[in-house]
Amino acid sequence: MNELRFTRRAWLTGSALLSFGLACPNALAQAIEPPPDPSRPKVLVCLFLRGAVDGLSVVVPHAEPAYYRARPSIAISQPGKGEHAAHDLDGRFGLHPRLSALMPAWNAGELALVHAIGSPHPTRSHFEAQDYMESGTPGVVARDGWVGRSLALLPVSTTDTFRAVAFADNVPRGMRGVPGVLAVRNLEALSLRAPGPLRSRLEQGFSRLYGVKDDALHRAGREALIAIARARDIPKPKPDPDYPKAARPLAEVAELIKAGVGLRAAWIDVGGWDTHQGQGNAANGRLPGLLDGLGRSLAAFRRDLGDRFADVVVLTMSEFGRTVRQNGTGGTDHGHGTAMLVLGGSVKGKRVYGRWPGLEPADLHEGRDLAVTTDFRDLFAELARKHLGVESLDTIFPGYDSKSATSLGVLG
Amino acid sequence: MTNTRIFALVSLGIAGCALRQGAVAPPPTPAPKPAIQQATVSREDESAARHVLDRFAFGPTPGQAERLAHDGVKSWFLHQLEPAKGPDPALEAALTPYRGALEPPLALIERFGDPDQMDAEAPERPFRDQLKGVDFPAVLGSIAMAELTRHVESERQVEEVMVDFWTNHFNVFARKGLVRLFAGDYVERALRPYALGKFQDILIATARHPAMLVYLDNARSVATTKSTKRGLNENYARELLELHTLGVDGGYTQKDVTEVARVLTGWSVQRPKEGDMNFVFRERAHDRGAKRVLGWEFPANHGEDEGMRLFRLLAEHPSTARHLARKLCIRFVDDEPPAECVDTASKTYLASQGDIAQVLSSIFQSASFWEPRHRNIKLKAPLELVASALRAVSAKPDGSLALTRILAGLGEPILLEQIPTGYPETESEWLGSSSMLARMNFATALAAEKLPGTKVGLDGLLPLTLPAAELESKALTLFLGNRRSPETAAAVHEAVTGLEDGRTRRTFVVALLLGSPDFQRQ
Repeated sequence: MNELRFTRRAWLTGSALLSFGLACPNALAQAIEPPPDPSRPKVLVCLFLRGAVDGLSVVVPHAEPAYYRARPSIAISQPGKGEHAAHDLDGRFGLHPRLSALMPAWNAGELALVHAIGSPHPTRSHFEAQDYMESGTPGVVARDGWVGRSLALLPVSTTDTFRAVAFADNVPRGMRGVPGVLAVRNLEALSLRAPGPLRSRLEQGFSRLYGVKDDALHRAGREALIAIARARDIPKPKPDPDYPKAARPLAEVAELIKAGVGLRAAWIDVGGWDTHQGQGNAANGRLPGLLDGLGRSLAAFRRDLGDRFADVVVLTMSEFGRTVRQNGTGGTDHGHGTAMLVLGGSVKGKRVYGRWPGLEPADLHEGRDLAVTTDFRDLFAELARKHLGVESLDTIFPGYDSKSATSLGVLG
Repeated sequence: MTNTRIFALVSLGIAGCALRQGAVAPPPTPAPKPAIQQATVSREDESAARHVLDRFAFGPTPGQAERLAHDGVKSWFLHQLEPAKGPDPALEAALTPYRGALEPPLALIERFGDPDQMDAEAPERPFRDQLKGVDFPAVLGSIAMAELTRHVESERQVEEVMVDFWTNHFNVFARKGLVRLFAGDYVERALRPYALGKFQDILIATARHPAMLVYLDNARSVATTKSTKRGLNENYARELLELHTLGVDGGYTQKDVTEVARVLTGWSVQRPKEGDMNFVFRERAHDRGAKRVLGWEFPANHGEDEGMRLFRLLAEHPSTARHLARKLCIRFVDDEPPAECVDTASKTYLASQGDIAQVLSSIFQSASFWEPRHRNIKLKAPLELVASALRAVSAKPDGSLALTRILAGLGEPILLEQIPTGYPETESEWLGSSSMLARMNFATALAAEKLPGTKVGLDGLLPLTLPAAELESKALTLFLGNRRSPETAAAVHEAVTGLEDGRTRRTFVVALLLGSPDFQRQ
C-alpha cells in the first residue's frame, strides 16, 4: 500500500493512461485514492505576524507559577480569576481572553495550537529570523521560500491566475520560488491605474503589445492583464460586520476560494506585534487590541467559508517569541520560542501540540526565553506534505532530515 | 558587415588588451569617416549607440543615441572610462536635498537627530538614546534618492552603472543594526571612488568600511580563546570567498573560510567613545597564531598586515578573475554569458592586475557584445527601468523621497536587499505578473506626468500641438529608436485612434511605449 501512495500528479497520469484505453488492473484501481475535487483544491493561508508575537500571551501557561512571577503586570489571569482571565484549554494552557472569537473553532476541534515552536537558529534579529522562517532554512537565507517551493512541486495549472496570492507590495520571500505569484495590496489594486473610461482602452493597448510573442516577458505581461480581467469577475467582499476593517485581505482570500479560481496558497502580512512597551494584559495595552482583531478576523473567515473551510488550513507564523520576563517599560523584548495557530476543517484540533519545556530559570533558553522544542520545519513540513500534497520535502527544506523528525500529527 | 566595421573601429583605438596599466589610452583622433557618414547616421550606427547607452549607461536621454551615433560610440566610451573629475554643478544642485544623508555617521546623527536627544546640557547622553532620535526612514530614503539622482543625471554614466553593479556585488543591507548609519558613506566613499579602478582597491575599501564590517559581522569576530565567551564569526569570511572574490566554485574549502576569519579577527569599528566610528584594528581581538589560506602561509604575529596581504592575494587569484569576468559579462552582454566574453574579460583582468576600466573595455571590444542577438534582450531590473524611463522623458527627481516608494513597489528599493548576493541580474528572477502590472502602472503614471516625486516636462519633447501621426512617430523614435517593431507601432496607433484630446493621446502613446515589452529590455 505504501509504495502505491499516489499523488495527484500520479493520479492525473493514471487517468491520462486510462483515457488512452489502457486497462486498469483491479489492484491498482483500489490503491488509487479518490481524486481531489479539482473545484475544491486544498488551500494554505499563511498569516505572518511581523514583529514577533508574544506566544506566552496567546497560549497562556496558566499552570506555571514562574509565568506569573516573571510578569507582574502583563500576565494573563488564570481561568476563572476575574473577567479578563484566560480561557482554559486543557488544564495547563489557556487562550488569551481577547481571542474568545476562536473558542467555537477550538471546541469544534478545528483549532490546534503548537507551543514552544521556533527556529533552531538563535538570532533575535527580526529580519534574519523572518527570512529564515520564510526560507524554511534556519541560518541560511534563500532567495525563495518554503511555500513557493512547495507550490512549484505541485501539478498546479499555470492557467490558474490566482494560484498563489500575496497581500503585499512584493512577493514575500516565503512565497517566492514558483512563477506567477500575484502580489497585491488588495484585489482592487489589481488594475491599471487610469481614469475609468480610458482604462479598458489602455488595457487593450497593453494586451496587444504583449500579445505578439511567446517569450517569458510577453507571457508575464499577458498574465498580468489576465489577472486584471479576472479580478473584475471576483465578487468584492460584501460589507460584513464580522470582519474587522483590517481583515480585508482575509475577506478577499475567502472570495477567491469561493470563486473557485484555483487558489492554492495565500500570504498575508500582519504587523504591529513588536510590543517592547505597553504590551498590556487583557484589558489594556497594545497586544489585546491586536489579538482581538486577529481572533475576530479568523472567526469571520471560518464562518464565511462555510463547508469550504474543510479544504483550508490557516497558519499563523511569527519570527520568534518574546522574553519570559517583562521589561522595564511594561513590554517584552526579543525572545526565542513562541506559539503558532493552525486552523482548518481538517485540522486535528482542540489540542496544544509540542513538548512544553517549562519556565523555571533552568528551563529557559539562554536563561531568559521560552526554549524551542519544536523546529518550525516539523510543522511546515507536515502542512506541505499532508495538506498541499508535496512528496519531496528534501528540496523544500534542504538540510532538514524530515524522515527522522517527529510528526506532530496536527493534520492526523 | 556593419558589425565588423564597428569592431574594427574600436580595435583601432584600443589595441587588444594591451592598454597600459593604470590608465586608459586617451581617445585617439577619430578615424576618418566616409563623407556620407558625416551627413547621415546609419541604422547600424544608431543601433550600436543605443546598445551602448542601454548597457553602459542608464539608457539614452532624448537625442543622445543619435548624437553618439554621429560622434562615435567609441570616443564616448573612452571618455567615460576616464571621466573628468571636475564638479558637475547641475548634478550637485540636484543632490542638494539628499546630501545630508551621505555624511559619515556622527555628522549624520547631528543632522537627522532629535534635538531633544542631543541636548547640549547632557552631552554624556548614551549613544543609544541619541540614535533613538534619528529619523532613519528619512536617512535611508535620502541615500536611495541620492543614488537614483546620480544614476539619472550624472554625465559619468559608466561609473554610475558600475556603482550599481558594485552595490550589489558588495551588498549591504541598510536596515541591519548600525549599517543604517554607514550606508550613505559606504556608497559615496567605499564604492563610487573606486568604481572604475583596481579591483583590489574596492575590495579593501569595502572590507574596511564599517557598513560591511557590521553587515557581515566581522566587527564582532574575535579570536577564539578559552577566556572569552565570544569567538570567531565566519560570515564575512565566507561571503568574501564565495561572493566577493573566488566564486562558489573557486576552489576553497570550509577550512579556508575558517582560516580567513582568523586572519581578519580584529578588523572592527570604533565605538562612539573611541572616535568617529571608523575602521579600527583591535590588536587584542586578533588571532596571533599562524594561518594557512588556499596554500598561502601566514606566519604568526603580523596583525593587520595579514588581512591586507590576503586581500591582495585574493584579488589576483585566477578564480576571482573568472568570477568577476562572468558577472560582468552577464551584466553587459547576456544572462547566459558567452564564453568568448568571459575568456577575454578574465584574461584582461589578470593582465592588468584587476583594472576594471580595462576589463570593461575588453568587454566593449568583445565580438559577443556587438552581436545583434545580444542587443535589446536583457530585462531591465526595476532600478534600470526607473532610471532609463526618467532619462527617456527628461524627468528629474523633485527633491522629495516619493520615488523610493516607487522603487520599493517595483521590487528594488536601493540598499535594502537583505541577502549578501544583492539584487539579481537575470531575467527569471525579476519576471512576474504582478511586477509587470507594476511596470505598466509606473509607465502610465510617468506618462500622465503624475508619478510622485518627479518633475516631468513632456511639453518640451512632445508638444500637445503635434498632429496625431507625428506624435506617434516622434515618440517611437524617442523611446525605441530604430528598434521599434511594426507590431508596436501598430498597437500604439490602434490604441490612440479616435482619442480627441491631445493630452490624453500623448499620455497613451508615452504610457504604452514606456510600458511596452521593447522598453522593458535593454
